[in-house]
Amino acid sequence: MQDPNHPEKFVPRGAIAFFVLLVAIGLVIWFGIYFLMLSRI
Amino acid sequence: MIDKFERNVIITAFCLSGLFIFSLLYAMGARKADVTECLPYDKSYETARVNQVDKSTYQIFYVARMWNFEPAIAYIPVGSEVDLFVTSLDVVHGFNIYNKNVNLMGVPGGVAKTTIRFDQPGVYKVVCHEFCGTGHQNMQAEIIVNFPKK
Amino acid sequence: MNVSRFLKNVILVELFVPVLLLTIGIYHGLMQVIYRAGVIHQASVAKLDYYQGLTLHGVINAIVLTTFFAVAFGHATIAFYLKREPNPKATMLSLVLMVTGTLMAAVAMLSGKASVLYTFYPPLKAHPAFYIGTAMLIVGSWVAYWDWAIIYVQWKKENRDSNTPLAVIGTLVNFTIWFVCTLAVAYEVLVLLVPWSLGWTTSVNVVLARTLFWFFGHALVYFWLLPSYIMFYTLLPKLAGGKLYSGTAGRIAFFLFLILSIPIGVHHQFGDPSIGRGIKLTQSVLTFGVAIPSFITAFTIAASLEHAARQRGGTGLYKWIWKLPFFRQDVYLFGYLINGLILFIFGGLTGLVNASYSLNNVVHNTAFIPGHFHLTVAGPVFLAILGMSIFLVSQLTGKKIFLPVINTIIPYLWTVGVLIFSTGLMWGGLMGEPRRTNMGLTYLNPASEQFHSYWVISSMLGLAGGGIMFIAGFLYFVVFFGTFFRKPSFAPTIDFPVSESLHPEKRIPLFDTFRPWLALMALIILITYIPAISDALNNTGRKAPPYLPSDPTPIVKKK
Repeated sequence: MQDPNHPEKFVPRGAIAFFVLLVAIGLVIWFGIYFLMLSRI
Repeated sequence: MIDKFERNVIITAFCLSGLFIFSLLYAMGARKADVTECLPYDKSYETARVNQVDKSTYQIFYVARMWNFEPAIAYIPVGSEVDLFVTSLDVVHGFNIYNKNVNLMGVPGGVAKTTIRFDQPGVYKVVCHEFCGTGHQNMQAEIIVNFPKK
Repeated sequence: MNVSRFLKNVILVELFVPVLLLTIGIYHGLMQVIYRAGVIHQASVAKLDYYQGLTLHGVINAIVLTTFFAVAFGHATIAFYLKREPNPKATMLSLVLMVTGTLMAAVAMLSGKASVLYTFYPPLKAHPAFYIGTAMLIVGSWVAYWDWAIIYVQWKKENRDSNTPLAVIGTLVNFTIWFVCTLAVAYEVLVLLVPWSLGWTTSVNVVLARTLFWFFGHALVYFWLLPSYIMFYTLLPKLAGGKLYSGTAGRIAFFLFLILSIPIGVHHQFGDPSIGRGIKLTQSVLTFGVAIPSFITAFTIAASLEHAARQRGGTGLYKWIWKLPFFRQDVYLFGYLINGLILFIFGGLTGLVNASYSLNNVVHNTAFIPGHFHLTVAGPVFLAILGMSIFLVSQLTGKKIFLPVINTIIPYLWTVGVLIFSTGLMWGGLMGEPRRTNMGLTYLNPASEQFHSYWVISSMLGLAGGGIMFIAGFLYFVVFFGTFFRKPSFAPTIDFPVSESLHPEKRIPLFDTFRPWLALMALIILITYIPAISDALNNTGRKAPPYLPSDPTPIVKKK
């Protein structure tokens, strides 16, 4: 599946995993502060 | 036209934004979490005072100037709902209550307003967080929530 | 490619002047963490006041360095990709305006007559030379932009069917954003503030001035960022030994920046009175839109790097990462750029928090904000500037890098420093620690009745991180000036690594033209900013006279 010499077959699995991780970190940071905000009302 | 993974990234980013926006609207509607209200300005805001509206509703009119807030100390009973109004008589000041969802700018010619409940007794420190001149780091006030003592 | 002696010297001056001033900026960065952590309880050190130093730190690092670098890098990019050199007269005019303006502003700040911070919010008043100098710096950068626009239009006439190089699209998008947003701050400075600071007018509408400033102020961060993005798209994949995963994605990202960078500035004013909540919410939502090109970039660059690493024999879901050239001296730029990207993961995400309407109440004007923006402007922006300035100086003078091993580790050291520094500041900020405050005098002075014990550990973390950043900055100066002043050993040149696209890409006319995007940009700006400006004009009760930072009574003109 991973054949760098045939770019049309290149599936960036690692980059997809990275992107999922990025979104997960984003959710943790954002909702962390969101609930902090709600607790301070 | 565009790579399918790129397209999925764009869709995911839109969904994430949608989730954040929905959460903000929920907080605004259900918990009244909002930013400064936009009020027309008049001279009465330039007089610092504490008003009791009814048994558990208060208004504090803050006047900021280089380098103090008036009232420097305000006494509020536990469990009251307080409307805060902030304006400045000279330069731009900041108004942030420690551990509370209050974060306003004191701007000459404008009045910032928000509403907050004080359910826990304590001394709530107010800090000026906008640079307002050489005495900026001294500029502080207190809201003492335990009055009358129970 | 060869460059003329003239262009070579212009670019070198445009790098040397700001880096020389940066020594002052970085010195004051170190001093601030020392004051703030309560190590010293003084208003000034060596006759330079805390707030004067903060002004120098902000103006030099965030305005002077970034603007000079963007112009220098723009000259190199346009000349390299379009094979045409800029007009010498225009280039000279631009350089003279920028250097003269910078010197005027620097003298005003160093003499202590402009300690108003880089946001220069009225009614705090600075010396007129500060405002005029800053305006000249900006106008100087416009001149370079107009000249490149002419070169681009001529090039496009002769090459109607070829796709404009991505780096050129990026440069022109960046300077178009810059030109439009600086129109507002130029109006603020030249029409509102200069006559007022000279005493010709008595008072100024503060909310209006703030609104005009932030029309500029948020687009400014994209002006800082886009040169780094150009490097991420056009250099980084090649440096890693691979190809760009998708050039089209890069074009989409740049044009999204063009239309959305400006109409979001009100998200800096959520706490301001006189501006309606509807406008604040609208601009908050649009800020989520401007995050999309950064998500696209994160994925595209990750995919490009993965492709490069797999070509070098990388395997697994994440093990390929170790095949990337992290510590190779010959591709030291890779280290500068990848570290910037790592910092930007956190910088970008915390930026979303700041711009999220009511969430802003938790962080606005607290130390969280400098914690955040050191992960952006002192992250991808600053590291790209450091790496590229050394790269350009080495190539344009034909001199080898001085201390290449040190040069390779500088970005890693800097990144460790920023991560510690920003953790401290953001943590303190969530506990209400204010930004822009000489906390050593009061909140972190045990002798003061305002002592605030909660902020001790967070500001100490800031100090530790800031100290590491200072060491990395110092090493950079050694490498930069060491390279600058050593003997030449090869012929001067500009030779950027050029990343090809992984997939063959057809030219899509929509992503190779500016007109529709410029129209959309204008439309969105008008829709979002007419109500904001009109609120600022109509809801402001009175205008304010000027104040000196040291005196609570207004300046009244002597008769």
